[in-house]
Amino acid sequence: MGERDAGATFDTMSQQKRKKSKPYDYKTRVLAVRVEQRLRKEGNQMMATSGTPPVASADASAPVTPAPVPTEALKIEAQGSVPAVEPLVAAAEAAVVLPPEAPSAPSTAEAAVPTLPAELAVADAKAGESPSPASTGEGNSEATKSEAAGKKPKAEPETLEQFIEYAYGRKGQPLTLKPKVEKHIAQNARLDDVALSRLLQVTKGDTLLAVPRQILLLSQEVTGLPGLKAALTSFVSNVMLRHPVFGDTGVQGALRNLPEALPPAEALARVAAFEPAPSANSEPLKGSDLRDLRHNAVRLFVTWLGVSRSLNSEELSSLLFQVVWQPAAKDLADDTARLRALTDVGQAAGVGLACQRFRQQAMEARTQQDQAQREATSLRDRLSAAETQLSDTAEQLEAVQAELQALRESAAAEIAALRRQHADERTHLQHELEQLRGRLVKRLTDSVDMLEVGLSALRKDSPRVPVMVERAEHVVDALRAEVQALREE
Amino acid sequence: MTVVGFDFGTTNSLASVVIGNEVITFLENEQPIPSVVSFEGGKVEVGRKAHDKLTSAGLGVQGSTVRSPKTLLGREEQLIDGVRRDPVKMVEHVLDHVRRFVLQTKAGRDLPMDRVVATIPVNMEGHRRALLRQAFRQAGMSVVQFVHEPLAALYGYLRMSEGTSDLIRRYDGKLLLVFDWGGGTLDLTLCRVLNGLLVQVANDGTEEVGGDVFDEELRNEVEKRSRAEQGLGDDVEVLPEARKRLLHECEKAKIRLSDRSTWNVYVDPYYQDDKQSDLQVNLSRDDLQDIVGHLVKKGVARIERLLEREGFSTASVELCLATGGMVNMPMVKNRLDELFGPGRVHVSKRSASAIAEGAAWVAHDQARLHLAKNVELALARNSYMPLLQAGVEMPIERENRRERFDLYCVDPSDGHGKFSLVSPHRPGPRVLANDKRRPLCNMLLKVDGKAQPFRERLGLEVNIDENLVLTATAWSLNQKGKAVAEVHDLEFALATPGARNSWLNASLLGSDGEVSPNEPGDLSMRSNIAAREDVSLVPGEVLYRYNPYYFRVEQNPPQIQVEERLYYEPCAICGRASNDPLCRCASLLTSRQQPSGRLNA
Repeated sequence: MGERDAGATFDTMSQQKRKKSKPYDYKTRVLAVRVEQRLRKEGNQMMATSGTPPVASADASAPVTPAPVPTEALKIEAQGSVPAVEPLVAAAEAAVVLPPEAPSAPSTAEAAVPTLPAELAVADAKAGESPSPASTGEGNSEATKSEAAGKKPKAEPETLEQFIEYAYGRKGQPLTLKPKVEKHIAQNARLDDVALSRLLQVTKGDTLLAVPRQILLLSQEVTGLPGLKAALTSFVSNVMLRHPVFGDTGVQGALRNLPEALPPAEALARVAAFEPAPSANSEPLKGSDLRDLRHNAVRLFVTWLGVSRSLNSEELSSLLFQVVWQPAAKDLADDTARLRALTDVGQAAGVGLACQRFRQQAMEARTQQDQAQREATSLRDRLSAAETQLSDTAEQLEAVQAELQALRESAAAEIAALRRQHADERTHLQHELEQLRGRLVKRLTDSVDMLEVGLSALRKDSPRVPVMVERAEHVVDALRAEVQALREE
Repeated sequence: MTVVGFDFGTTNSLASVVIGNEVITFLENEQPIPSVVSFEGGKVEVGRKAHDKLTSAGLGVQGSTVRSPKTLLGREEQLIDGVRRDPVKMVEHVLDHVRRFVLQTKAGRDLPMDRVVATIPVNMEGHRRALLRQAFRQAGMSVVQFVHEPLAALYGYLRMSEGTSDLIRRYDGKLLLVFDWGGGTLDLTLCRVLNGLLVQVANDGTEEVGGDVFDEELRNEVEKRSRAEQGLGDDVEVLPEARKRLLHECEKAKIRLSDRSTWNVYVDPYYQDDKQSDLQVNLSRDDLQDIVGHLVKKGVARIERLLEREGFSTASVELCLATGGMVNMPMVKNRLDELFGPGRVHVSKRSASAIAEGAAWVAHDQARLHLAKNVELALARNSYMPLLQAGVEMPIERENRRERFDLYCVDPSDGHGKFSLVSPHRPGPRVLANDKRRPLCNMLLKVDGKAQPFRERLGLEVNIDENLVLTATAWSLNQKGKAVAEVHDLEFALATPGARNSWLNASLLGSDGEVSPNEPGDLSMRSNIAAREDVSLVPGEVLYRYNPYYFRVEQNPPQIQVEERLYYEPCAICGRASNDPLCRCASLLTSRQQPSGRLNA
């Protein structure tokens, strides 16, 4: 927690003791609202008879469009009741049974504490939070007067509207709902337009937005009564949508969970950095008030995210850490500031929860890291083994390829050698055939020549028989030898 | 690339090639192609058709026909049939005819027929080899290398015999005789197998006993007997072309009498006589023996003459390899058997193609020619420096073998450097310093006659080209002189099949061994060249002019230089030569010397 927040907590607590608290006089306010409504009604009737358009009243069916409420107006309303209503206050006091005054809105210290689930908020409430007068911004003496006027018996709220009014009277203190009251209220857990309008007026007094979060947390405690739950949630939604803190378009979209809405972190950052627009009708918020408003708005927004989007505590913690805590911690200039901030932590449970969550995340992360490292080591081992296997396989493949190549080459060489051998054999056979043919041609030619000469010798007037005989013998011998040679080949 | 063996013989030409592991010889109807070209009627005919036009034996031009144009290489153009014809062109016709014949056969049509190993006679000079190479080139063939015919025949015989290595080992160091008796010439070559090389030792040859001479002799005798038997006088004319036919019939008769005991030579018509126009003579083997026996004796006698000339006997011949058509005559074979014994005579069954087949194996095995004997340069004081050692491979086509040497002039006094290239008689690199040498060529180179010994730097380059012609070029650096000489008759050796040439590893022997005697009338050039600066090489009288101090007693000069100086230096007193009988100055000096050795004053 920041020093500022810690200091604000002390101041708030001391202020609560020193300053005269101006508790929110919801009784007077209720009476004032009723009077106003009556007057308006009468006024409308008068206008109707005169032809003037009546004053538009709140339309329950129309979507609630939160109008920016001037801070000054809020302040004035917060500070003091409507003067015209005062005479009616005393008359209404006797008819109104109000629950005991709730302590003021939670202190800024509480605002600085991260949003807690409802049960813990109740526990915090039981831990004795001191009311914060800043949440209400009131210091009027009317509440004190009304207190001093005498203690009246506390009446249980019978309607939702009453309960909400009561809640606002608690000024941001944790809320509880007795089962009996809860059931009773749940019988008619619907706010009509008039009631809503009235209540919205009431909400204007809660300039620092201390109450809606409590209502929202309470709604989560309601079980088995979905109507009541939804009504409470809807009311808080209306309040938020109307408040200037949530006036940014992007924030509005996040509240409504629109498709094109800003991410939660960004919307929350805008809420945390809210700067009210200057208004001539009202005085600007004091620095501490603005700080409290931002804190409350942040808590409310986070609570809203947790409720509407079902974000778990881890996610909410991360959101707050990212948007609120970490930026705040960056402002700590030195070790003394850090020491102060650490020792000023008020809501130990929230811190503990967050830290527990972070620690758990860290441990889970550590576990995941260890597991990841183990897996990485295992994967590395497997990778190494795979690489080794790949290398071996590649070598085997190379060897096989080399063997295959060698086989191919040897086969090709063998084929080439066989082809050459066949070609050579064919050449030799062709040559032998040619030689044989030539030999036979020569033999036959010589034989023919010889026999021709022999015949020529025989045809002489005195035949040369020996010539013919000799040549015929030679031819016969030669042909016989040739036949023999052919048979032997 | 297939290289073909080409036997461009004196009488016949033949081409062979080794395919697979067998040799193919391209015969035309079982006969080689005659190396005859005819230009009759302007038409060029080669081979058998041109051979049939021959009318007589003998090589060279016969009318319009040329037998063995190879013998005309190196001569001038011949007038044939009215046209001057270049012998190279004539050779080209024959080569081209053989090449075309091979290509038109089924076995040879796929051969490139563009690279050949060509056989040449032993005595073919370098410039004729160059002309023969040119003729081959013009016929579309390049000569990878030349190989001598007897070496090719021997190589083929060894290569085709069973147990080639054993045969070579058996013949190592022994004498082998190649007896090539063909239609035109008888060539004898004595060889020796030395360290894996077939080395030519000596050779002889003649054209006087060629086969054609036999035919002509026979023809003349047959006609003579015919006229006698038929009672025809010399006035009876012979019909034109009849003598040519009779020549051919006699050639056939000569062959047939190898198988038969008698043969009738018959030519009809022969005479221009109406009554007896035919010629018939019965010849027997004895008749043949009587007619041509003297030619056989003459031919075989050349063997004995060659052996005697070289100092060998027939007993020292381990093998007589007979090739050529004539060796098929029983007379010739019987005579060889008588001379050497049947076991040492080998007549190939295909004697006519033995040389071509040998050339084919040489081409197939890429056997190279090597230098058979050292080529040396004679140096001063009769020492020899080998320029090319025996055993070095000879260049093949488009190659040269070149060596260069730097030398000194030991004695430039006559203004000439004297180069003498010699070759020992002994083959191989292991020659003795005093072995007999054969001069190859001499060169005179201009040097500075006034220069001191070893001052003139000389260069010598020897180059052997693809035609196996050695060209020696010498030059002097100072005088810028140059001298060139060629040697065409180097002697070569052929590597035996599968042998390793160990000659290149052999070292030269020193000067020990028997002195080879000089023959009367031998002249030798006194070389004045040295390969190193050594004053002991300088003649004494020359050295004295430049360095008299060298001859002082305490310097202990070599005795030969002292004697040279005393003998060749003119007398200092009278100026006469030392051997001039008129010079008595030395005796005068001696007489004036006192017993103490001092000269009288």
